[in-house]
Amino acid sequence: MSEGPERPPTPPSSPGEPIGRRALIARLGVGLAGAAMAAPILMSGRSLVPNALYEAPRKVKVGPPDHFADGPTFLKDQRVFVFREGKVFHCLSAVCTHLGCTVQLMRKERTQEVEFHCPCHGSRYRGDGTNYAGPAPRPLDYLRLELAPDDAQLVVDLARTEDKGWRFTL
Amino acid sequence: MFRYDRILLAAAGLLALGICVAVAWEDARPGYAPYQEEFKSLVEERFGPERAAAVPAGLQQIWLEGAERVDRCTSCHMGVTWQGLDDVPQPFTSHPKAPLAHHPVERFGCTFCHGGQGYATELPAAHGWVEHWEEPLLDRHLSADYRFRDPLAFLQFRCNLCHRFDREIEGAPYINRGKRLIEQKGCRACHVINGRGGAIGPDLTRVGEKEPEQYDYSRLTSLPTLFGWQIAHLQNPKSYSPETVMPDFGFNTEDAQAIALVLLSWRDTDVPAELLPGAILRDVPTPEEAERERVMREGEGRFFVEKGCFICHDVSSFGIVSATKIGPDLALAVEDAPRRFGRTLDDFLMHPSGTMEVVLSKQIPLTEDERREAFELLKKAYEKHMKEQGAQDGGKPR
Repeated sequence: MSEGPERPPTPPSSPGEPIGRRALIARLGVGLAGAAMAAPILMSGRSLVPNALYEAPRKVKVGPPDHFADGPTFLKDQRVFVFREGKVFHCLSAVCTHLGCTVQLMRKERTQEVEFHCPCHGSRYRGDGTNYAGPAPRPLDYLRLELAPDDAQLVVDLARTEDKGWRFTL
Repeated sequence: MFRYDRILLAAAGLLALGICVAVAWEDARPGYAPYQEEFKSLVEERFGPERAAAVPAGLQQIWLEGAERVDRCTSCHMGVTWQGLDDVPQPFTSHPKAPLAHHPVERFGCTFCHGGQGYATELPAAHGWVEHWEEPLLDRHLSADYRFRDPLAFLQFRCNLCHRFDREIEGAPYINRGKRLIEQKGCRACHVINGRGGAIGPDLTRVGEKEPEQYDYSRLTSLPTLFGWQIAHLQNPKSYSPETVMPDFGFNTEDAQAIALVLLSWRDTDVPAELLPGAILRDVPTPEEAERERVMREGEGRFFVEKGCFICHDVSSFGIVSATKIGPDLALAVEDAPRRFGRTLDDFLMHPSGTMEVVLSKQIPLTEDERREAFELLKKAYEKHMKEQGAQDGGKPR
């Protein structure tokens, strides 16, 4: 067996085996070209997500938790009801799901159960936000409550709705 | 043949890729990121991991809509609204509580009081230490430059941008001292200040607007700045403008510093009206309107206001006036109901028909007790109406 003058063809690389020089350079080239194309695409995509918006914050501090009495409290500026039962809080949006009027807190005559009635088109909601009469298409929104890490005030997140029955425990 | 263009192309491609990666790196590591990490570990150390997890990340800002300002200072100065970080060095120190009581951060932001460039997120630019940013941060360094005893003295300058018409400003002793001296020494004898005063010297109402180029610093031995010129001139007017007739009042350095702070603060501001002290930005009712409203809210007919009946109905004898007058005057309901519905008023209230059936079930749901209360009140309103009617007819009972 004599060695031929031609270089042996680059063996196809398989896992575990060292790959040849040419294959390596070819792969590197393709990889770099791919990265060079992907990077601007990713950056363009990133530019669509703003770092800051010029609008009022959707997380609003509404005061220390112990300033709330047990039961519902209506906050006019935020149009929400904050409910307190001891250490458990929850927050219902007061915006009617029909056309956006502010629902009014009512108490049932005998049981004193809380209800919400919309003054505009007569939609009615139970205390847990379930709609049961009128044109309202869905229950009142549960909004997320948090505790501000800096000064321990209760924070209403007007942008984040939670599942029905959501509770925040201190 | 070796193709040089391929190498060129490859090099350009690599360069472009490099730039992209560098930009992405910059974007991922903005100037405030190390401060935020440091603050997070500080909170973890002091208050535990739970509160550290709640520390916000990314660009923080206070958006002041009316002022068209955005203050991003809290991106680094994260401790401003925190409690219990008073002893921590800047940039994480808690803000003193007293000034924030009347100037909540959410409404006033930072730069109205402190100066600096709210939009900027890198240190020299944010503190206004860049060319052409003319509202630098009024910090200790600036106070030290002018040898103030109080390191926060310069900060008081910006209090007077809004509080220029207040005689005394709580927490601004330099400004108060300057204003007192201006009154005591009778500056108004020669100068117009806020529309009052003599015409010998220039009007000082907007003296803070005078450009730095309009001053002659050639004789000055201190810093060649507006503030340096004012202090030197106040202490020795003739040395700095030889033709002046302004007397030397013998001000000591602190007097001159105090007056100079007041003088330079007399300038135009872009503070929106709703943030200015004493501005009334609401409809103030006339005394008659206020009284009418009081009667409606608190008078004997307040039930009809609380329940919303007044939206459609007058109750004239109780002073309740409906803006819409959709329904009839309820002062006459006792005699009106039988005429309209063929039933007595109490029967109608208990079992309404027509429009009122809808209103009393949907818009104004009344309990049985409330319906009875409404009936009693309407009887009273009718009696009152009849009495008034009788008095008008010359005292004859009808």
